[in-house]
Amino acid sequence: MGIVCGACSFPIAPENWNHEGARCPACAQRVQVLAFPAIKKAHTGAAPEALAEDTEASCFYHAESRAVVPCSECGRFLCHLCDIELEGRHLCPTCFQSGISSNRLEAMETRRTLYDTIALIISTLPVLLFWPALIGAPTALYYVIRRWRTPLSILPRTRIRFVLAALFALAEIAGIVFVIWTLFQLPRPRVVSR
Amino acid sequence: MAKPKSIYTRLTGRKRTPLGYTQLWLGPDHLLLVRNRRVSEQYQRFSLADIQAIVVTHLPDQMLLQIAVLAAIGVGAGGFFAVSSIFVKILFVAMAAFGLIVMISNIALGPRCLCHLQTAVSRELLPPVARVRTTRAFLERISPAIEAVQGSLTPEQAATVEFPATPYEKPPDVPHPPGYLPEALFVLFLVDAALVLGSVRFPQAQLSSILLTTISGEIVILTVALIRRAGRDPRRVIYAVMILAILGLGWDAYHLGGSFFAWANGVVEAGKQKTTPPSMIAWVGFTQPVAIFAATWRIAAGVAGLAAAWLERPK
Repeated sequence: MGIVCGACSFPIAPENWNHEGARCPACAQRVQVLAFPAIKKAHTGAAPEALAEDTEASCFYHAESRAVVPCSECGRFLCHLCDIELEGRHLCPTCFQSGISSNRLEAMETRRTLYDTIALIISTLPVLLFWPALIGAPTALYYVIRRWRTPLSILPRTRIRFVLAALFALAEIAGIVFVIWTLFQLPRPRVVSR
Repeated sequence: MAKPKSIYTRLTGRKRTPLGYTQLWLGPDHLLLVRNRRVSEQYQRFSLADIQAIVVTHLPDQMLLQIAVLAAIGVGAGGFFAVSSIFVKILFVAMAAFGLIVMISNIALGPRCLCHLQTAVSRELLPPVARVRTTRAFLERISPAIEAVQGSLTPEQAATVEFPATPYEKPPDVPHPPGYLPEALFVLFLVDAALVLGSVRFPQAQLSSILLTTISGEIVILTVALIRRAGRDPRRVIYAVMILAILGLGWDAYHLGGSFFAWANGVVEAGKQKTTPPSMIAWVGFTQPVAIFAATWRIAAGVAGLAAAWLERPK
């Protein structure tokens, strides 16, 4: 892939890289290209080495390729092609896949649900219509208890939303109980018989 | 138990959208782009060793937006002094204040830019880096981190990089035949001139109500025609006529707005005094002298514009 102008996608020549004040030849917008040595690298991965002798250790997945490293999880021998390096560990494709499926590889996670925000929404929004809080408050409380230990964002994040959601939910439940109790305490209209 | 320290440090502020925000964080060996959707987060990682380049493209000033906001502030301020109703005054002040906040914040944030991150197989826009000032701060932090992993590339070394052969000269201009939007606008000017004169001659025909719609149509078509002009239409005179027409439209809007709010005030006052409010038929958009001016400039702009459009149109 060539380096192109962000506004018009016209290629920017290497002579203009790492220079201040370069302009796109097509749209004349100022373009600053910060190029790094990775741009000079060949875009092909390392090819697996063939076995030189029969006594050499071969890859578990490719019997004709020389093994270069064992899998950090299962210990299978791996060639260059099968070795997946992740956070200083070497994984085989099977362990890598199972790690992704079971969410054990935090570095490969691409999505997380923010249960604390969901609990806070459930505890606050239904109150606007009052009666939906009958369902919303207990549900929010259930969510707080059920998901308290579930990992939240991979970024720094406190559990203050869980705490607030629990406090709101408890206050709503107390309020609902009070309203129902008050309704029962109201004097009943007497039926006067003629 | 001590809380485990996060491996990420924040690189940029949050670029907010109605549905969430995006933000950039720096990990030990990668850049993390977070897309928050309120109830979930999506993560995209870029290994520092794989980043080939960061391309920052400066964008032109938002002149049209600034003019539109300035016009909104002007209308708000003008309306504040033109009406007597407190409620309507508050509405105008709110409109002007909102416009002022938008304009000041836009100026304060500084010039806009696009920042793309390039790897061997992808080219990703980084939405949180959308202002030049933010970009500088971002580059000051990310560049040393990338160079610590990859080393640095001098401009001389960069110039020797072999890239797929591409023609670096300016691409040929693709001809865009100019549309007929300016012509439609000039015809609308002539129609509105007839309506303006008709509204004065036949006040019972409620032509003033139609005028509100057609004049709004003029404003919309004029704005769209001016925006679409860039790089499409080589004609010049018709756009000069349009820019002059903006002055006429501003004059009309001032008088039309004044008479409308005078009528609206009458309705409010009638409500206060519990008398019969004036009907919509009683509202006269233009008084006679104003109407003559409004019709005259429209006829002049319409005829001149149509003639120029016909003469200037590329054959």
